[in-house]
Amino acid sequence: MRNKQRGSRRQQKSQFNTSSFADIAFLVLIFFLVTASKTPEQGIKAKLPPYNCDIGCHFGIKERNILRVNLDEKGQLFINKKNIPITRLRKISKEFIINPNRVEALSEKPDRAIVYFYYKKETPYNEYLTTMNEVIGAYHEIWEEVAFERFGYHYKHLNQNEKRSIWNNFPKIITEVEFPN
Amino acid sequence: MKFIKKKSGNRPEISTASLPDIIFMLLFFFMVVTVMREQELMVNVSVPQATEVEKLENKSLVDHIYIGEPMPKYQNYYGRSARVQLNNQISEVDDIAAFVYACNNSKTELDRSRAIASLRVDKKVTMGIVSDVKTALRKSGRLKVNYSSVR
Repeated sequence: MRNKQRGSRRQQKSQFNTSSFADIAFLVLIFFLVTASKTPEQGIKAKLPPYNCDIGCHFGIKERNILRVNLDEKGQLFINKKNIPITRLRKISKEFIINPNRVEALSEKPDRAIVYFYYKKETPYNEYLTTMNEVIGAYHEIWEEVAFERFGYHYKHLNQNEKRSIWNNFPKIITEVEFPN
Repeated sequence: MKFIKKKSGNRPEISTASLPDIIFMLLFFFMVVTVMREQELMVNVSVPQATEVEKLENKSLVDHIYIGEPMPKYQNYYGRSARVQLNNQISEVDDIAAFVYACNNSKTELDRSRAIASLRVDKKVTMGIVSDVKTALRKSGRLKVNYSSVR
């Protein structure tokens, strides 16, 4: 009996109390969990035209192939001098690009369609981006439809070659004109 | 060897000694994964909303340009109108050429053509300064841009 008791006492002494260890580790863990904001960078991608090629790059474009999107100082949207709510822009630009009913005033072919963006110095960036978003959204919707027609897949599941064949027929050409008079 | 069933009445307690080890493993994982914000923001930026957003995959290809109103503590010095922040300081639009040059220098030949300038622009900023920045980017040959926005 005595021997056994001694043995257990010795064991108790040699044991290191690790229960608070876990608590400390938890605290540090929670700190890193909170700081680890894994929000990947996201946004609207765009390609700027080269510097020495302003609007002069697009010479000899027929007027009917140009969709002129105007943003005034307050960020209001005008197409053909008509004030248009932004919610309608996507449909309008889609119709302009595809021109399903072969209307005289809209683009000849989707690959000839060009969107011109006009804005002023005072135009709010927020309105600029939401407008841009709608035009790009129109192209994305068109690509999605074409992808389904041609390949039977969603656009995002296509491979690079298939995507390229769609881009060839429906190129996204958006030109910006800063501060027109 | 005899296998004798122990009586169930004398059940030992579950040892929690391995608990810290598990927690530590998690801890190390998150320590490695966490990327501390390497840049201190000196301008207020809340990016606009958009639906057609894409993710930027490769972080090493992205160079950030911040545009917005300086934070309150810097307003005495830099004023309240929108400014451009490159790296860790509020800069002029003219500094963008040097910024792009420095960014290009730290990249390989292949990466240079794929590099993207991410414009983190505040909602309330007007297009004047944004367009100046874009012109500067075009001049220095950085044509791929990303307008940072949230869904």
